[in-house]
Amino acid sequence: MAETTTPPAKATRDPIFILAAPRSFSSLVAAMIGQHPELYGVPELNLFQCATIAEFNSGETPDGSKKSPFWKSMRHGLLRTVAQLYTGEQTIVAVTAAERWLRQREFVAAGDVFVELTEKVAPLRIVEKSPGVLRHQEYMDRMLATFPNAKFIHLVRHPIPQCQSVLNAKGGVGVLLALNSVDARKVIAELEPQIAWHDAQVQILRFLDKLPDSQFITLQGETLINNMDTVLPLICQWLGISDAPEAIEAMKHPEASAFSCVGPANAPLGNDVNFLNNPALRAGKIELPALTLACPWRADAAALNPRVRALAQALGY
Amino acid sequence: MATAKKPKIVLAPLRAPEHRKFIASVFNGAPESDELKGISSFDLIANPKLGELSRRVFARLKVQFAADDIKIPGADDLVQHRLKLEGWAAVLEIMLDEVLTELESLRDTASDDLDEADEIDGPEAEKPPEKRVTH
Repeated sequence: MAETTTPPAKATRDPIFILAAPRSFSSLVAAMIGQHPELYGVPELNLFQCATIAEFNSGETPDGSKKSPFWKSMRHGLLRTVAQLYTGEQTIVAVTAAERWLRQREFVAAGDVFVELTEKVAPLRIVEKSPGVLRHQEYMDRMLATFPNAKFIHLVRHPIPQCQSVLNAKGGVGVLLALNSVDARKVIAELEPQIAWHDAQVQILRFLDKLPDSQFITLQGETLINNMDTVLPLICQWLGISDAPEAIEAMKHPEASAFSCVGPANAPLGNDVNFLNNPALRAGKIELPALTLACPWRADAAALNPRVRALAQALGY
Repeated sequence: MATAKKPKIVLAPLRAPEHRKFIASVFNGAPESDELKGISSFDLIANPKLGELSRRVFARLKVQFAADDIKIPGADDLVQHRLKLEGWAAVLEIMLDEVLTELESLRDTASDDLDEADEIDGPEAEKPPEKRVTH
């Protein structure tokens, strides 16, 4: 009688997505988790903001409007990833080849291209974050429709330093204005970054309502950075991957990723530029300000709005 | 001496169920919405307060983007790549020139031969030349 064998279980390739407002340590955390030997961290792919690759290539929505004034640089992450995975390098010529690779897929659904990338890196699993997906529930729904079993990490940063960081970041004020993060109650309107912090968390929470508890965790970035030896193994256990010391050690070196540097001249970004310039972990603990502190950016020295404070508390602060 | 115990860290899914409403309307009077609403160029034109804010924001962005905070290691490569392509373009231009000149000269030679034949033989030049027999 012929011997029957059970086929080996198909390696799970469901990605791990990090959902976070801008300036919430997401570049650092995604690179750290992506350095685990069973995972593969990629830059911001910004694929799920598009229905097809034609949309990704043109940067135009179906109604003809521009997706973002920064869309050209928002393509860099995918170009660098394709260059790295299919040519083994990130050079000007490799990025040009990646452009051709994308042109050949003009009419392919953006989610299908993400699937193709997961197959390329299998048995490793992709770790990805694109803060742009928070703009519309539709974008996050695409992630879930493509990968119904993906794991999600809701990464949070304390609102006061996060707001300060957005205001100080290059282009941050433009992003806040575009998001209508504006306090217009007085005669002179001012940017108010706590609006963007609050509404980004609400947008994430609304999406997470579609998931069972087992499919996501909430992670305060400061807790991870201040307690790596405790938190990294917990993340591994939750993901069902090895928490051996060598795996944890690898995760402490985000700078070792092929994407933790400025890319070639025709696709230099793909991540926060400050992270690309200084990707290594810095020594020292992050101090958390009291939620009742006066907001340093406000001329009237007001504290956080009570609803913002309450949400921060509900998210572990 | 007893030391204070650190709180145990647990990674849990936090749902914060009482927080599902956006807050923008509280600050800027925009109508409450179920979708995140950005600001449009129409809003900036129609609302003088926002118009004034946008002018300040753009002035700040202009200063920010005047400074180059990113050293692109491949920038030199890009220059090299451009120079290489320009070199190829120059060579191809020369080759194209040479090919066209040669074609032109071939065409001229052929046409000179025809003209010469016309001049010598007149209208009957098109007839095949007769074989002359010498004794």
